[in-house]
Amino acid sequence: MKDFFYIIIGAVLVNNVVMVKGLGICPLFGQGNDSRAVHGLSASVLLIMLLSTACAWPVYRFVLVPFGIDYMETIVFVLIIAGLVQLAEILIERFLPGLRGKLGIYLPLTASNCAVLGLLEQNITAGRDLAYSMISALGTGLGFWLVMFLFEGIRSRVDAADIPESFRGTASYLIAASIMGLSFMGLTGLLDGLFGM
Amino acid sequence: MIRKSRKQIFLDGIIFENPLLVLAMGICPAVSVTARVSSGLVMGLSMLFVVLCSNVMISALKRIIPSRVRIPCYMVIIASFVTIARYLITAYLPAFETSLGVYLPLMVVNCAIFGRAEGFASRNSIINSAVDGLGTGAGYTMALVLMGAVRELAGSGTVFGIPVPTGPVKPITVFLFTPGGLFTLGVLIAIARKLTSKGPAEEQKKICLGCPASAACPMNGKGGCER
Repeated sequence: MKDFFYIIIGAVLVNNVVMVKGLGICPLFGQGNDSRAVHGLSASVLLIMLLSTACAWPVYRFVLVPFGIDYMETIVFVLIIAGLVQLAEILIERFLPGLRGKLGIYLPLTASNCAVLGLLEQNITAGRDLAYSMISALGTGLGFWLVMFLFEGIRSRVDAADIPESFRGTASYLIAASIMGLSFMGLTGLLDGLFGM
Repeated sequence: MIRKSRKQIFLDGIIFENPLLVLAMGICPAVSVTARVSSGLVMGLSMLFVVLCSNVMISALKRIIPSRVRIPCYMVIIASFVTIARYLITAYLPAFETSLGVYLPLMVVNCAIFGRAEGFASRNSIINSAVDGLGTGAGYTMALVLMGAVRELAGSGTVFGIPVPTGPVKPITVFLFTPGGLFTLGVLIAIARKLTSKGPAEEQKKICLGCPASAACPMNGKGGCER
């Protein structure tokens, strides 16, 4: 149980996927500014992260490595993500039509999200086992969600502010995100303090 | 479509349609690997290799790939070249394998590469696509080197590992981390926009062009992708 919280808090706050590792930054700067879009996209990313980790880990361990084709990992992972996105879309359409507007329309965007592929690659490079990988997928998805949610509030204030013409849009978002990233850096020592490791 | 000369295509990729500084594409690797000029340069050159090869390949296959499944086809083509680039770096520049780490395989989902495949190579001749790939790759490399120079100078007081006398100003270590990268890129994008005077609306149109999901996206070309 202690390990579970160690991994989750590490992934959400200390090694946050967006603010510390710099993955999946693009969705922060999309023009959508209502919180429904933020939650829909973040929930889709979390769902695809969990599903793709659950598929990619066994495929890597039991297919790619035994056949000596682990150099194909990037190609295989990309296809797994794309296939799962398509499958999830079809299943939601068929069995949970009520979720379509909330979740389904954001699913295609997750296929091109580098946080998802980055997570799969990191699970493999770090040599994590399946349980560890699944918990980090949960933590990484929640960390993405947290940053998306916080940044949505900041972005609406940045949009309302009177800033020089050339700084409007992406440039000002990047600088706002940079200041937000500084506050995440302040959490670096959190794990040591909490778990004494 | 307006016909452009090859020189114009090349220059567009470097200056007027610079993937990073003008179109704001491929932000993730840019803020993460440019803490040193040398890793920015290697990342940029790998991008150049991948975008050049995938542009040529996609342009050559544009009549064979059915348009309904073109996105997965482009993904496989790009992923193959990314794998080649990754193993070339592992073999010949092993020092950079650790510093670039996960960002090398992540070139597969880089919208700067996808944007060229979808927006240019799929409807232009092989030679023009190669020129476009060279221009885009060179533009991205130059932007990464510029970012790397700013961050390395500000963050550790060196450029290419050579100490630069900065007088009484002490290095600001935070420039070496992700927040420093975001800040540097934000300022450089603002400067580039001032120089090329492109408005936010123009930028959004280009982002949709580069988005792999644009085909499935109801807001394609109109902005507001996430709604």
